[in-house]
Amino acid sequence: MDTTQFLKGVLDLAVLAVVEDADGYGYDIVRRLREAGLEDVGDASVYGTLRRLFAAGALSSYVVPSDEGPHRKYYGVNDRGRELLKDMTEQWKGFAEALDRLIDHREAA
Amino acid sequence: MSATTTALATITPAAEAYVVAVAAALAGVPEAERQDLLDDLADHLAELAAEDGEPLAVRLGAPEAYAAELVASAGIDVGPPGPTVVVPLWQRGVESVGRHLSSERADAVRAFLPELRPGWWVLRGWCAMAILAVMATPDEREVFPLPEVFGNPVLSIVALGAACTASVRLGRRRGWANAVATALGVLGLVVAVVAGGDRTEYVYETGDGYGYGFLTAPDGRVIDNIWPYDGAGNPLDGVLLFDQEGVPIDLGGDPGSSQVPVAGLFPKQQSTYEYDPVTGLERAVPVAPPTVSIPQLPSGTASDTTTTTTLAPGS
Repeated sequence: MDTTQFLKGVLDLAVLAVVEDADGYGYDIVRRLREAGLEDVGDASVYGTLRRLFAAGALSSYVVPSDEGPHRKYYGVNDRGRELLKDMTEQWKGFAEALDRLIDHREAA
Repeated sequence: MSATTTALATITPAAEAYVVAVAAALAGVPEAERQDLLDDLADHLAELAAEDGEPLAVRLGAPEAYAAELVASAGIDVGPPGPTVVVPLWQRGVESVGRHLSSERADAVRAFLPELRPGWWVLRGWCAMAILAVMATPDEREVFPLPEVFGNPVLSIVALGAACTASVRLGRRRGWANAVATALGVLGLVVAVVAGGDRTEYVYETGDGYGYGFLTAPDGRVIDNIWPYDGAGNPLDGVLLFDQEGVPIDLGGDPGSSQVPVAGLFPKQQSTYEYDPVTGLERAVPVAPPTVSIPQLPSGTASDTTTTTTLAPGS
């Protein structure tokens, strides 16, 4: 099914989680999100989210020169980003548990 | 940022076209943010160029959709003029007017308007006199510039001065009388405009003017004069025109009342009659030759010589 609508609400959390695993540049983060199972994630959404989290001070960035390809702008999570990630993780877990309970309850009935 | 240029140097024309289309769709985004987003896009496309795969429009979607997604996820307030938000034209118009009304310039205009009030008071006095002039003598007397209330210019000027003075005084006092005077002033303006609009110009021929219209152009226009020109574009005066039987061409109407009528003499002297506001009299103004464009004549055409002509048999 199309999970685009779900993704809209949790893309910040997903991006922060991926970048916290390891710093990455835009397209690398797109690929890692897809590999993690979020296949419907839009390229432009990821680039836009990175831009916004960076502007909000949750990410830091640095350019890595490259000999064969283009220079790449890497993003990493800073302290503020880690705090944000922690808050969002808690919120998500509470939300997901509530929804799980709701669905399980209906399936059991 | 230099990222755009370095990245763009490595991407294909198709990618470049994609960037241009996205850039156009981002037209509503503030310039600094727009440049950042485009730098990202250049990086993105450079990465995709390394994969050989589907066309960009399939892989990423339409450029406009990419731009909309980018702006939405980046949390930029000013959305691009995209298909998602369609504001009706009337609403945009109302908002635009609202913005103008609240702008500094509008404030300045509002602040300036009271300064124009004395001018209105004077105009109002004139309007009152205009009403009186029209009521007293609807057809014969002049309303503009001097409403002739008494048929005597000096008395009318004095009356006008008195009316304007009274109007200014009323205006400064601002009572109910002032309100009445304002209403009268507006009415007077309407009367003046209507009366002014009635004064039409008439064009008619010198002479008896009856019976012209014998010659019509193929499109039905009446030809009531002929303006001859030579090949160099100089208007000719006193030209005699004859038909195929040697009969002077007569368009009806006499060519000039003050002269002895000459049949077939062109151009006919015509005048416009204008009303002279200073003397109050009609004044004849000769009609000037029309503006014409002179075509390039074929070489060998005599334009300035012969006066005797053998007419070709009518064809």
